[in-house]
Amino acid sequence: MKPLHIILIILSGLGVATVVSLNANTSEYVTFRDADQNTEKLYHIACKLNKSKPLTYQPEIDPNKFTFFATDSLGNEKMVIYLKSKPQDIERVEKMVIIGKSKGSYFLAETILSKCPSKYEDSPAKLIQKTN
Amino acid sequence: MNNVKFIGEWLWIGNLGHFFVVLMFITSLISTYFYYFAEKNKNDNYRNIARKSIYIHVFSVVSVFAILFAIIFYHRYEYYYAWRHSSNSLPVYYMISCFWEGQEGSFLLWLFWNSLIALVLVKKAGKWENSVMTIVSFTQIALGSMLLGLHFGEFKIGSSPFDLLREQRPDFLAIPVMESVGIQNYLQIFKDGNGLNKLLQNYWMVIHPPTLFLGFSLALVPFAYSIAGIWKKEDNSWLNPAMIWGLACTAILGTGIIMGGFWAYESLSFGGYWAWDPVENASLLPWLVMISAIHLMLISKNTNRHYFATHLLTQLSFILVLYATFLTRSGILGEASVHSFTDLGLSGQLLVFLLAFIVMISFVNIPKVKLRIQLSYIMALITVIVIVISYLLSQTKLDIFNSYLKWGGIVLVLSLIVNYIYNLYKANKSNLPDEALNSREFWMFLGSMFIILSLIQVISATSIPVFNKLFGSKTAVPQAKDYNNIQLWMALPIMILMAVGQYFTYRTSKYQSVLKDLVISFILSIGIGLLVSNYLISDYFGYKVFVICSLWLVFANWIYIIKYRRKHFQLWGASISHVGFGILLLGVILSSVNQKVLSSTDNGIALAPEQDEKGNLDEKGVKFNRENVILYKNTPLDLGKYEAFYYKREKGINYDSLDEFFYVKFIDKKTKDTFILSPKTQNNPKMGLLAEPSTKHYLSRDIFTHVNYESGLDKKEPFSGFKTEKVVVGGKYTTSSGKCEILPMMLEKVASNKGLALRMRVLVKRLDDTVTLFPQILINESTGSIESISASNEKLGIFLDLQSFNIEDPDPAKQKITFELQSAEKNPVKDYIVLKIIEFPWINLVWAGTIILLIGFIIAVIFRIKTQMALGNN
Repeated sequence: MKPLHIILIILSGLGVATVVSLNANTSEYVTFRDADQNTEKLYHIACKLNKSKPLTYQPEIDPNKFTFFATDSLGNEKMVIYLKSKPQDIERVEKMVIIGKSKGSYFLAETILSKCPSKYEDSPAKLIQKTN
Repeated sequence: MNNVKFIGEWLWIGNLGHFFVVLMFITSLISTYFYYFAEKNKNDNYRNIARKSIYIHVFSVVSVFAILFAIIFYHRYEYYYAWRHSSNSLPVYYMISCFWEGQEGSFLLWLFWNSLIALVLVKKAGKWENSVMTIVSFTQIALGSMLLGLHFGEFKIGSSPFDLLREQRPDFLAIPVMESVGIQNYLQIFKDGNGLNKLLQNYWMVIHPPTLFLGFSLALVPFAYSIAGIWKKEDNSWLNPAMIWGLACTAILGTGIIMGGFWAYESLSFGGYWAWDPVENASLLPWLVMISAIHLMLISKNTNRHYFATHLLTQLSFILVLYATFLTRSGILGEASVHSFTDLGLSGQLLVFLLAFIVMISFVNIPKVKLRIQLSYIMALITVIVIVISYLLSQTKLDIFNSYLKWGGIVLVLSLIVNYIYNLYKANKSNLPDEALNSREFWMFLGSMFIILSLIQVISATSIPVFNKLFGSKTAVPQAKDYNNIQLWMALPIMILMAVGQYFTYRTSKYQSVLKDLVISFILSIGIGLLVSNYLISDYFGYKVFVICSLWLVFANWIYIIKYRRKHFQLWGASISHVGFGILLLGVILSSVNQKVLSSTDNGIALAPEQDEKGNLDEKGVKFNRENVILYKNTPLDLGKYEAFYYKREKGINYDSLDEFFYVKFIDKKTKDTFILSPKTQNNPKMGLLAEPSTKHYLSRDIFTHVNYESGLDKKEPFSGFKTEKVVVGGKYTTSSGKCEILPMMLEKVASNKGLALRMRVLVKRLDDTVTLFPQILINESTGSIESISASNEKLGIFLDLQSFNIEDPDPAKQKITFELQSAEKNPVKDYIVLKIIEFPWINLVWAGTIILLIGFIIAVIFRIKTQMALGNN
């Protein structure tokens, strides 16, 4: 065998290893109940913001604590504590993915990935207000 | 609605635009056809027709561009594109940004760059013109079809930028106000557009997307040369021109990518220049492959080896441009990306676009013409059968059919790819003896393969949403740290090979001399590397190795220039780019590992700590992420190294501006050095709080701040404790809680055309704070009624309302007037901001490294063009 071939085989092996390790390292989107099973593991949870319950951010008490309620795909609701400032425009977010650990009574989120339904478009009603 | 005659529309301009879109599309078809047969039959007449057609094509593209700009410039909101992406208040220099907020505009921009490139190729490509231009024109057909805007029932081919607002959004004509003005006058209501995304209103956003698109366009040319090389069965001569275009592509695409990073750093609040967002990765994929391809082109050119890999990677680079377009424009990334792109329902067409090129490269490489033709017939037949069946089936059966179709499609695409790789390999099999281990080509090839290894990680991680869609899996999208952990190790062999590679000569070199040359740079980098890694906050072994390797890359290439290339400036390109890349990576590692959140303090209340089995309190979960501080106005805060002092809040210059600037003074406690930062917020009604950071740049570090929240966003608490009292000027009263002192100072007459208006100057004191308020009262002459205009102040939490007055002594000399003054209170609203402060050490190395990298590419491009000219136009 040529040395180049040996190296290429090793490299392909490494390539496969990266893809496999990627699969091993990333989690699946789970529910709050799954996350409760292991409070040490980081989970990704696809959920909806519960807009009927209060979103609490009181910077004068703690500028690094934002609390809200989220409902997962099975309809289970849980309090989520996010130890950063309130994310921009969170009120308008419909779906989001929160990444963090379950702490029993609440879910401690490290990251919130959110996207607004239509980020930058007025409704016709608003538009009329603006032009008149 | 067809019988309504709408008033005030400029329909002619849109029709003209449509005309040029169609002309553009047809001319690209004609030139593809004639260039193809000009090449096949060696027919110069055909070439002349194709050229003329390409000239008309370029003219049409420029016209479409100009017409769309005119529509935006003259605020013709009857056109959906103008309404959706621009507004009356948009300055002219941002109007150009409207082109890349929408998909149609982006495709147009791509077509535009391709047209300019086509003009250069027609003039300069020489014997390659026919074959290369066939591919370029073919690409223009595919891109042009994206703008056609043809509808066949549910099917849609392209989306036209000249669609009318009333056709795109018929719901707008149904809004209640329409009845009063009449539907024909709808333009009187749509006097202003929806506007350009505020985040795109930034000067970097004017130049970043066109640069990126130029890079994408340039990637097409090496691809076309590679296909043409196979087509014309020429081994070597396509390499030189392909390399020039490839180098230009890497330089410009690289600039575009880093501009995006700089924009993110300067004007977004995510605190960094690279976040491994799928959209960023998408632009990185073709760049990585193009870098790899260029090195392979060098090997093939100098040693006649590895044609298979050279063709494969050159072609892959452009396929990845198409894949990137598919990823970012089809909406498949969905929640995986923070970037939002509107889905125009073209994802099917984008997929066809991508697949068309995969089919093309697969077919071009089939050696037997007969087989090629037979296969195309079979493919066409399958397509027709699939379309017919999907029309005949009922809805429920159609779903089952579609799921089979999906698997069939996956198998078909995979077999096309396998067939492509197999044929390409067979056609380029080399009979040369093995390359020596001590040759430059060996090490360079190895380096390119390591770049591809790094690519495999990025592409598979970025494609997770695609796999999820295809296989119904639910894998979560990897986060930045998942990429960093792997890419850190991927970069090490690449850096080492970049340091070592140049010292080998092609074919064979002496190990001893290579080793001797590398000794100095190696010792230097170990020594300095260890010093620098001491400075790193983290003790992680990988970071230290990374620093040493990046330094070695810099020193080895620098010494190479001094030793071997001192008098040959035109050959500096490669080494300079390598040095720049090393500096860039060193900057990346220093600024991210040593990045320090200066605003990280423990002032928040602790979350309920959890108990472990022994009953000890464990606060592990709450120690991270405390990254914001609250700064009250006029109250200094100790941040350790600095003292921060928020002293002023200022509205934007325009009266209706929503911008607010917060002035914060920083004092370095040791050096007494002071500087002022003014992070900005905009409480945008459409997008919420938009924060624009403010950064102090030092040579060795940046202090980066942005406001995450400010007191103005607090919900206004209602006033309470209402109390009405009879007051006289000069008296002294207290509010119901007794916390505020109210001192009516004097009565003043105010000019009013309604009647007699009086205002009272009232001084309000609360602890050490004092404000002056002016509650007013108006006696309306025509109605005789009394109206009052209240006054309030949030800072003191006080509300005053003059309700009535009574002239007790009519003698004007005494003027004894008593007033009924209502007061109310609430908790004073303090003026504060929630601020995040990050220190980025040595981030300037990132920018400096990029610039050096680019200079290297420019030198290389110039050198290659000169060589090409010296060779003549062949």
